Amino acid sequence: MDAVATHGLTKHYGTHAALHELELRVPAGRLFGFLGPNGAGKTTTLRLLLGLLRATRGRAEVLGRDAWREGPALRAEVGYLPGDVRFYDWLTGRQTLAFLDAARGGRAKTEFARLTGRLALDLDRRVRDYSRGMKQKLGLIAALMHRPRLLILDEPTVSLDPLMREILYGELRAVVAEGRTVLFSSHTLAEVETLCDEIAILRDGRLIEHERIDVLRERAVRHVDVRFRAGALPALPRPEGLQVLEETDAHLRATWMGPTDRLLAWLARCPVQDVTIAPPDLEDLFLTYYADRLEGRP
Amino acid sequence: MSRAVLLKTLRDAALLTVILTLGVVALEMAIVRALLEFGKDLENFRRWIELPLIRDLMHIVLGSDMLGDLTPTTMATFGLGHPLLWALSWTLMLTIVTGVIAGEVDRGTADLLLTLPISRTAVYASTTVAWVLAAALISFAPLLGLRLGELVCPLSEPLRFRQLWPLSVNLLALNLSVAGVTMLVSSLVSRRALAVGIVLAALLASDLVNLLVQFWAAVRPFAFLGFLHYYRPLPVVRSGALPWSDIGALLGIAVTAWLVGLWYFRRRDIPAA
Repeated sequence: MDAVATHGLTKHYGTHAALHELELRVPAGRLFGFLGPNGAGKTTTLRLLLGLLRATRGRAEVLGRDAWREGPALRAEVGYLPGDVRFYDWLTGRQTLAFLDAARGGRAKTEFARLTGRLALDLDRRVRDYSRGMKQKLGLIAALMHRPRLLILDEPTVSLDPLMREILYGELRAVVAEGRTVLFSSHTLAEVETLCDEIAILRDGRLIEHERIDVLRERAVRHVDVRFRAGALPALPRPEGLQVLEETDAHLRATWMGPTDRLLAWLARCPVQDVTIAPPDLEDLFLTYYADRLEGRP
Repeated sequence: MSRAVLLKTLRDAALLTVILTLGVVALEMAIVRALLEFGKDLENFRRWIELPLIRDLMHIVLGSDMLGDLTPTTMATFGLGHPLLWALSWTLMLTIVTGVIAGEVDRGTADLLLTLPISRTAVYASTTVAWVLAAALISFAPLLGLRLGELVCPLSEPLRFRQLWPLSVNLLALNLSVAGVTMLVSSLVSRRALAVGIVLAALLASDLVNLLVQFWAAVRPFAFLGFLHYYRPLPVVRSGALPWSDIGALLGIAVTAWLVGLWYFRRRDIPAA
């Protein structure tokens, strides 16, 4: 079953199309990365899934329920952390969590005690006295404490220090190990690459990629650096997929896109003195989707 | 309805409700003290309220002419038509009502509240219960203030509360209508200051209509547009009966505005903070 499925999901703000005919499937039990630069439509999509926004056209199903019509019932099984999390400043962290727990039926006390200890958060201070990172931790506890079947996190690691980030990654992996689903939005590819099994990339409100990370890795370029013996480049024809960046008498710097065994087979026939093949670089692949933007084209 | 949202809203509103309600009680006690002073020189007071401008202003505030019926009970209606009472009551209504929808969106906490497993209707209804309770408390506070004032400063004759309580019911209907309209405006906008500004402008316009009606015949056909057209303290106290038509009109405004607000709130977008 899909944890999330959208069908022609479209959202307009006046004449501006923030999301256009989105067809997205997030399989249950996955750690799913939702990527795109600022303004791509990630937050709009997440808010549509939570029933905070009403679709102009199309519909979204979350855990098999219509996100707009059956919002209250499905939200009992969803945890959400907004990109810019805000709380009632005059309440303490404990009062905030007690309110959220009461509104959800009051069954999360054990889990919120565990999470509070794990994230090392002082709950007896007023939220107005919290730093941004502490608010982010409080938001994470609020999103996780009722053990939701689907966790929707909008750029959750902003303001978290590296140690807390690792703890969060651990929690998210544990969530997925239990068969629950995490939908994780970010504009940092490295983070998504470390954590997620599958990603979708949005651009200008359109889905431009949806693939498993391992498949994308195969498509990504590797940086190759080769030093040849005898001070001369081999005269052998170069394999398709090898893009030379720089070459001198005994040195070749290039990128490789394709199966690694084909590259190794070619290198085996050359007088190689030393070779370095870097891991696949998804950042380069990611940037190709936005190449025209980088060049200043609309 | 959500018990958690109701309790939170009541807790958030409690301090302000108590402060403003005590303010109303203090105002009414001060009015009883002033009545004691006026009673010592009733002829001078009568001459003062015979002045044409004062008489017109009294008519605006009390909804009728006071001359010829100067008793402690009718004079006590000053306390239920005093501009400070409006200021205190409407401050409470505007603060509580705009705190939940426009306020939540403005603060960004709507993301927290509206992603809970609670329907928007339940959030709206829970908030409504909180402001109805606050409106009831501040609307009956004048009676408590008058009673306490009377105990501290005994008047020449006791106040007739049997004639005064229908006015508090009328005041409750008035406060509910202001709150209902505020709920509508709060549902329509995403900035709390804007919601407060719109309602204040509407109340001032309404009071202006009420004022102009007294001095300008051309405005009289529009008198029904003013909230205070449905709140006439002196005739209510004189009759001692509930003014059903005025209460009906005010509750009609409250319920209509509340329902339109609910309809819109249920379908509106909640923008990101």
